[in-house]
Amino acid sequence: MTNQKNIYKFLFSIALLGLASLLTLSSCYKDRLKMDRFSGGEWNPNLAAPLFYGELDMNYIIDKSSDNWGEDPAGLVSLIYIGDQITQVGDKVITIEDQEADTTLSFIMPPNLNFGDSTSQIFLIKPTFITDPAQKLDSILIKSGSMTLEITSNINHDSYIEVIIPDLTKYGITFKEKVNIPASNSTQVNTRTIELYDYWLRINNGGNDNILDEYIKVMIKKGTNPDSSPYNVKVNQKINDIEYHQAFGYFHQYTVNFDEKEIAIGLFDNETIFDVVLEDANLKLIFKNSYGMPIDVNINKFYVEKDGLTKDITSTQLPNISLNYPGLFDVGEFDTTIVNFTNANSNIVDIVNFAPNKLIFSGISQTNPTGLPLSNFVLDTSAINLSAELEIPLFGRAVVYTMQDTTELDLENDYDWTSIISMDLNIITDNYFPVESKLQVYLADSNYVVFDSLFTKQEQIINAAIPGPPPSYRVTSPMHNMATVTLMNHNLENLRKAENIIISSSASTYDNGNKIIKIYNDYKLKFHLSAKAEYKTDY
Amino acid sequence: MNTKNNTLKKIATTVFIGLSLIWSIDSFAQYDLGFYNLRSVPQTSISNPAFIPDCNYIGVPGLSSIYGGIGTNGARYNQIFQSTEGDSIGINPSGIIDNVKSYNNINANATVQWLSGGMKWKDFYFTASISDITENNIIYSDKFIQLGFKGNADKIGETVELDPLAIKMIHYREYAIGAAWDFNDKFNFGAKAKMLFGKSAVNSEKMDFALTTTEDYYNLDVKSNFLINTSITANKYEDGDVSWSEYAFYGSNIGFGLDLGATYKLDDLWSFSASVLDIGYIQFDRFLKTYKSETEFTYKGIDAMQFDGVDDNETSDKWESVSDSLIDLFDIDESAEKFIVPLTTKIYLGADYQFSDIETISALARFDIIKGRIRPSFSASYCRKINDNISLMGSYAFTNRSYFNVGAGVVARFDPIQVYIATDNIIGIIVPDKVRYTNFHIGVNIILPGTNKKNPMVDL
Repeated sequence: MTNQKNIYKFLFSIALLGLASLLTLSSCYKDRLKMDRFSGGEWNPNLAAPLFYGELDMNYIIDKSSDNWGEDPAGLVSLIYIGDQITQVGDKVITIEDQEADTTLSFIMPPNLNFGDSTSQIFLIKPTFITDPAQKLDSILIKSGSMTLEITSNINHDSYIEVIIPDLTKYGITFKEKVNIPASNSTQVNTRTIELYDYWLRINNGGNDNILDEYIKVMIKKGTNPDSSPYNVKVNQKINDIEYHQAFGYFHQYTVNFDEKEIAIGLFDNETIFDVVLEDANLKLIFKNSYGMPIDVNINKFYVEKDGLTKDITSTQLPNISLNYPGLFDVGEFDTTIVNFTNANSNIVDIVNFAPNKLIFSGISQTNPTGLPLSNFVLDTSAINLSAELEIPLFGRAVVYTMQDTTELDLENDYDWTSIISMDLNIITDNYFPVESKLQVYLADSNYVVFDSLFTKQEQIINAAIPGPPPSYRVTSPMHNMATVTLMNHNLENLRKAENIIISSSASTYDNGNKIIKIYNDYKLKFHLSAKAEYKTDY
Repeated sequence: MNTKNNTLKKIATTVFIGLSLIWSIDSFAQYDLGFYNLRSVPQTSISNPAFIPDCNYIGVPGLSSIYGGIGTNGARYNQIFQSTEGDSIGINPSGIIDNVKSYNNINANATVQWLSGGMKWKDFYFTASISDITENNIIYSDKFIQLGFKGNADKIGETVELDPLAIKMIHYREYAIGAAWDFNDKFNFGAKAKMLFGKSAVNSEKMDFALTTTEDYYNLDVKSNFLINTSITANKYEDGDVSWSEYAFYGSNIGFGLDLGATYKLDDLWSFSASVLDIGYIQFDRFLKTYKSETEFTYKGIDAMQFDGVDDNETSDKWESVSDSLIDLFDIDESAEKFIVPLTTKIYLGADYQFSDIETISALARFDIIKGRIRPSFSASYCRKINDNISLMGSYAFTNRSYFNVGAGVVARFDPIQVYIATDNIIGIIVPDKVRYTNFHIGVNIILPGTNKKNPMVDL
């Protein structure tokens, strides 16, 4: 029994020892392993990764450009500068004077007319429609205006006067205006005003210029009053304030001015020092004329300007230009006249190599310049649109010695680059453009005082692709270039502190601007930005 | 005496040659090397179902077999972490990088036997047990570590294959019934059938990644081919929390396992044993989520043109979409699919030399088969019966690229109580931060009356 007790004591001791050991070990482990005092660590890898990539093609450049662009069938790209000028509209080409005509008609009632019977008589009158003596008005579609009829009558029976003008129609219906005159023993005056909008008025009836045919019907119904014949009916007609939608005839000579117009030419607008030789240019004056009559335009100002200096555009096609005009079957249409100023007939290439900032033009036009009567028409909307299009194909060579741009920067709060110890930045380009470029980025404070630069010198970022032989000068394979820039931590920190960056670049066409190139619409620039950086951070 | 000395020399020579051979290869142990030879402990039948204990027993519930072990053949704790200011610790990248090789693993395993018992009937010995088993294995390569800590800048123009990469974490409950058959004087055979109920698992069927950093552009060509199955409670969070009882006593996720073993007694001195454990699998069918990706892509950076002409707000949105698109590049497909996790099969091969009634020298090779690779480990042990109540064991293990693992074990039996404790690395118990491998295995059994304890060491 004692032995048994000793055994249990032994086992109990072992259990206690085991428990104590576990507790001790547990405490020791906690203390030894310090797992509750984990403070992170330092991560210091060398990482290489692509950052950005992109592709700039001509479509992108064109989309982003505020200029107009064009291309020829081969894809040669042109810059186009356009200015539009519109003359006054044609509602003032002719002025229709107010008209007035008095006609007195005498009428005898048949003596055997019974009570209650009626009698009538129709009178034809031919008032003259007064116009400028030099003009001949055939017809007009009236936009606004009115006719006032004042009828004075001494008829002492019930009667009416009806004015019928066959040459005045509205929607095909002849003008008729009937004025009832009740029986009276005294002279009566009846007045009626009719709005004439949308009436067609044809004046040149049967070849008699400016003469209107009018019929005046007088009808009398015999009443109880005695026959006091002859009766007199005085018809006073006034046509006032006539404006037209359309007018046909001959309108003689009329002057339409093109006010001075200025077209900005942005190609040479940068504050850059450059040397450019362009091989071709084309200037078009495009007239769109909806006056139905011969017009001559005299271009009285036509020059370019750069920094206050001017250079006239000269051409065998100047100064007078005869415009095409729509015929009678094309009323409301425009007819176009294009005057092309090319290297063959003008000094346009010299003009663009003058590197102008703007083109100025103005002119005066005159209708029916010969003075011979011809069929004319004019609409109240008739006008002459004049567009000047200066098209400069990107064909030539250029050197941009310095181009500078300043951009505000605020990375102070956005980025913490203290973790980047150093970084090799690869700028990789595959360039189809026969244009090369160098770049330097200066870091400046708020007063634009430069305190650092990203690169040690102006870095060649883009190599020019090699143009093919003339006449196409087309590039067939891109030029690859990789520029590696090493940026140390202090460079990056300075970038973060910078409040302005000044980007200074230079560029030239192939072979430092000594070779002629053409820019086609399928050219593009692929770029990749990749970085290899030593990174160090705590976590 | 001379005969004994010669025998000892032969054994010493054999052991030396054997250790010299295995010294030259990497070995990656799991657990329980020395414990295999503590044959007086009934739980050794866990390692070889052909072992027949010398007693009938009932394990003390929850205490009959408690095992815990950790191991790594990469960096040790004190190489992974270093002291920093303020008596803290921080990660030591160079310590990690310098101590990993092409194939590395971290493993942590624990087993608790809730109920167990065994009894002899005629020529058979029957055992039964209920256990919870947790296995955690992470396999990784030195390239993975180097890429993570050192970055890819020194691998430009190269393709870095990150394999081997694998993860296998599994918790399951095991209901086991075994029988050992004393076939004749030479052979014992044993088998154990196990019904398994999975509790949770994270298992990669494949994890293949390759990264190529191109010259100059530094474009990242990524090949990704992975399939990771998970059955964890976190997958159910949308439907509410999972209770402990729901987790622990769920009756599905069924699996099966089989252990086979045999022993052979050559003569009075030599005997040999072999076992194959955990042939089987578990099929998981709850709390499922599968992550699958099989893609190749090239990351060329961010398309700068997308930021052209956008305002600050749009720029912010664009950056968000950029980060989303980076993840989208992996084209990870999430689904809920039943999956099977094979058990980690182990093979034990042992040799014992009993050169006295109370002394045995043993050699053991163990091979774990995990993720298609065989991970070997080796040990040699010396067991001595001190008296009728106490037996001691000393061992040497070679595992996890760790060559100096000295273990020990003790079995105390004072009927009806048997207590045992064993470890493969005593130093690891004391200073776990300085070793690559350590474990412990302890337990308490109740020895049933009427059983023999005269020959507790080996009864093959």
